[in-house]
Amino acid sequence: MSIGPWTVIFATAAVTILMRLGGYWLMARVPMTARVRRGLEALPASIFIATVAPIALKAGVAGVAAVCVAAGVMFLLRRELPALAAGFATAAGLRAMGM
Amino acid sequence: MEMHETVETGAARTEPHVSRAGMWRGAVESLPFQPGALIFGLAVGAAAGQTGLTFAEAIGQSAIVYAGASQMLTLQIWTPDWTLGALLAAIGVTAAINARFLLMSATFRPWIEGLDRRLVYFSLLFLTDASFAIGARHHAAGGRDHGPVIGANIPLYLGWVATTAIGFWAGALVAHPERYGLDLVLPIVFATLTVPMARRAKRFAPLIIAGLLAIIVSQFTAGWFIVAGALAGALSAALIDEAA
Repeated sequence: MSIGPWTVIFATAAVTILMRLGGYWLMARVPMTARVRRGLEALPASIFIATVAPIALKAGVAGVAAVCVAAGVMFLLRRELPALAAGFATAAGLRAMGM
Repeated sequence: MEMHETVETGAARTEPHVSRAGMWRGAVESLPFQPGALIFGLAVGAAAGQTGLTFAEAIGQSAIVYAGASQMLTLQIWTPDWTLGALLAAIGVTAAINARFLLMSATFRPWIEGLDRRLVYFSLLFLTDASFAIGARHHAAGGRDHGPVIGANIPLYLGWVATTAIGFWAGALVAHPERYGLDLVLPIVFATLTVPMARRAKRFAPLIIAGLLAIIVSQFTAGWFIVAGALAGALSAALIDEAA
């Protein structure tokens, strides 16, 4: 079997569907112990941080600065749009300066 | 506490249901999410085009996978010569980043338990961060109407596929996306989404562990750092006992 683009698309789609339906299905069957609950609660933020940190670091000064500015504005204003705008402006500005 | 409230007042329905008015409200409430989804959809379409996917593959990915962050990450490890290892990395990354859907769909169980099973699973096929947020808001306010989630899903899905198509063609106009910082769309969006989550976190050690391990693993492999970091964060949170 050769692996082509459509194999990848359908395989990643199948995994995603499993996730979208699986939680509802599982909740009727898995005992929600304190440990399981703590792990599940920490999972979403862990995913985001594990994604952002290496990618930003690899992108250099502009990457780290843009991510920090976006997070900082979000922390202060608690609104997504200004945070995204500030992050993109930082990225574009630093890249224009050759960083 | 309100589970045994009788319906004798007749004013509010306490059993799960789907109403047309609720669907309409969900569609309207999805509008504030649209600018962000629009930018993200354009970015995914542009990235797909720059990565070398055909138009059909780009649209297919958005229509079938329908999960922007995981699509973007799959595109980051996209290769013209797929191997089994690369495919497993794509599946692993997708599972890790979309594991949040597992939690969201789990959250729905107590809210809509009792609705027609086929309807529930069909609506969950289109579950997104935005429709979850809309549903969670309604249910937290005591609503038992699943309509807002279904109503939000429709414009969000159509908008996503449409902006992917536009981004695919418009992205070709941008010769060097990194010059404008467009390659940083994903980390910037994610950094923004992380803040409210981190704010709610009871402790930060698991999050720091997740980030550090991901950075270390990313030095060695392209695809697995998210899975490794995310699992490390969740595991350490599970294993650290509540402070006595």
